[in-house]
Amino acid sequence: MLKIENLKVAVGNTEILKGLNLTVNKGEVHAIMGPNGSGKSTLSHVIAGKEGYEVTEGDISFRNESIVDKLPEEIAWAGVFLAFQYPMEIPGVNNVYMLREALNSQRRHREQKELNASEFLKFVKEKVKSVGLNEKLLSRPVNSGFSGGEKKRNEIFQMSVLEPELAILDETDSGLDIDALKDVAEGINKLRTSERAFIIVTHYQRLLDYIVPDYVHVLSNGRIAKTGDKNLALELEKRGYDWVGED
Amino acid sequence: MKQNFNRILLQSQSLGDSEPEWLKCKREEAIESINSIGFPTTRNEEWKYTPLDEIYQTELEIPVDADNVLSTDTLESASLVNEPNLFKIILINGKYSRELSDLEVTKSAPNVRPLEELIENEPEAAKFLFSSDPRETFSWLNTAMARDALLITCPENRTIQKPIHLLNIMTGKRNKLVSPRIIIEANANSKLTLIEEFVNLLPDKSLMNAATFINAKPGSLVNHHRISGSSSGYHVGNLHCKVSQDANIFTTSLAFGGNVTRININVRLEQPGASCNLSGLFLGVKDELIDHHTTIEHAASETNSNEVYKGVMGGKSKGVFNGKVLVEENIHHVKASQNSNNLLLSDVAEINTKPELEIYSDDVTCAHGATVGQLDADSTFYLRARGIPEKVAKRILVEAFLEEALSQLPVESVKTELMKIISKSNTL
Repeated sequence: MLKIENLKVAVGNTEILKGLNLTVNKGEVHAIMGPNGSGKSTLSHVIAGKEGYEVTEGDISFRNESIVDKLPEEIAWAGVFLAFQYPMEIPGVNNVYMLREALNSQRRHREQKELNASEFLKFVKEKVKSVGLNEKLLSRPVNSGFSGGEKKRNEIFQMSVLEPELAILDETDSGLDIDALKDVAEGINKLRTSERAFIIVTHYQRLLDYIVPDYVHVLSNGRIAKTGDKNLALELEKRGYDWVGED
Repeated sequence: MKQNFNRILLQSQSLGDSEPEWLKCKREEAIESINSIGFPTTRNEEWKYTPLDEIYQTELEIPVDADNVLSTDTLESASLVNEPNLFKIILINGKYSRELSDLEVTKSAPNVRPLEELIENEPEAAKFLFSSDPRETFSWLNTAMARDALLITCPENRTIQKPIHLLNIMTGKRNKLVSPRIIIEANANSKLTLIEEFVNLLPDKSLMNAATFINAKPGSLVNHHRISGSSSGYHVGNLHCKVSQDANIFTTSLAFGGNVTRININVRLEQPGASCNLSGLFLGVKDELIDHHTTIEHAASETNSNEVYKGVMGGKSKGVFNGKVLVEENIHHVKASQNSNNLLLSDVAEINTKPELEIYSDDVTCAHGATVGQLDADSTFYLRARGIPEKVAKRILVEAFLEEALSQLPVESVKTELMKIISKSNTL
């Protein structure tokens, strides 16, 4: 589904990703762990098409099509969803309005019928229950004045509405207390299917107690330095990141 | 340079032959005042961003009756306001058109009387139409040149249920100077909502010089919205408000399009409990200049003022906001807040914003803030990553930015129209 080959990415004159390889198949859950500054967020942003990153070598393909030169909205329409580490607060833009615009843009692109306001509201009300988001937040401006936990739940809720094939969770666990973390993880687990793949980018192992990954990769110095199963995450938790790459 | 303007002032004197003596005097006084001070240029501090030379050099004409003809089709397409449920008052080239207006005579309708009718039936009330004398060149010019004036009164304790839509259309042939003049009397404890709209159907170099006077008597509530949004032309708007005890004025200015737009808003809070809320929204997409100058005078204790002005400038447009707040001596418990927030959509667009606080009293809470920024790149990316195309994402963010200034406006059609203008231009 997603294939990253020898990906080199620079911001200005600084090379951040230095030849990264990663293959994600449908239904798989991949965790990407690594110390601060290892390039985790860069990887999430580059896949999602954020401006300001220069791909100097290599390629990212999604369903056998290169997405390196695609716009963020085109990547979203192709079925990629990025849950932000810091979801933007957008005062003045209603949550439901934004999400309907997003879903209908996607449907328009896929030549599906757009949902009108009442159809959309009905659709959304079912989704909101399943991720445990307070229904009142739907009519509020996007993330505006939301608590840290509410913002992350809102990301998962948006994911449930847009139904992506690949979801990238960028440090979704950051800033959450243990109860909020469990809730968010539960929301994500409900969205796991045999068709949908996940990339979970995280600094800590604790989220992986609740969302069990098929693969754990350690990102170090712009490359995947080590790949293992869930036990690798536990080892990283005990020993830190320094030993990776020593073997 | 301004010989053309002097010529038009002479035209005014010759046209006023049939007018009563007092009005001739008023007009002469106004012309003398203009002659002694002269027309402002960019060398005057108050007008330094507002280039008027081109209009000063243009041969302008005063409209004659033959100009005041308008087909129904043109009339219908001229306005941005499409709501059906409004009292409609139409002025063509500043002259009240009873035939085109739609006021239905019911108890809840406002009382609307034009100058001629008052001169004939109530000469004292007619004088009242020209009694205000703001010491300012373009207000004097309006006094000298206004061919008509309209008195709109709301009786004591009455609420006018439907908004009053005042549509001012400038039309005819060749370049014109049109001077609409409206006087609004909100009597004690009355409530009304007005939408003043100015439309220019003439070529580039015409000038609409409008004057509006609002008198909010004790306990009244006036909601006033002013829309100037023509594709070309010069527009000078002069709004003068007096607010009495416990009365409240909300006034919004929407300004977009045109060559040069200058709007002067003066509010005097005359008695305790008086308050005003001013908001404005100006939008440039080509090379427009849009300038708002506001002055709020706190002349009594326990008075409040609040201002929020927002500018969105794209293309090569320029926006100006200058907000003066004056708190007189020996008054207490005054609150004043002012915000000027601006969005630049291009590298060459310009915003000039300046608060001017003159405070001669101690017991005052005064806050002001100004911001100038661009659309937030991270917010744009956030929306695009959800699948919203770039242009739509930017439009949504601009819409959100404008929402605060538009939230008071009672007509949806105008908001939609504004967003269409932004979407159609290449600023996003």
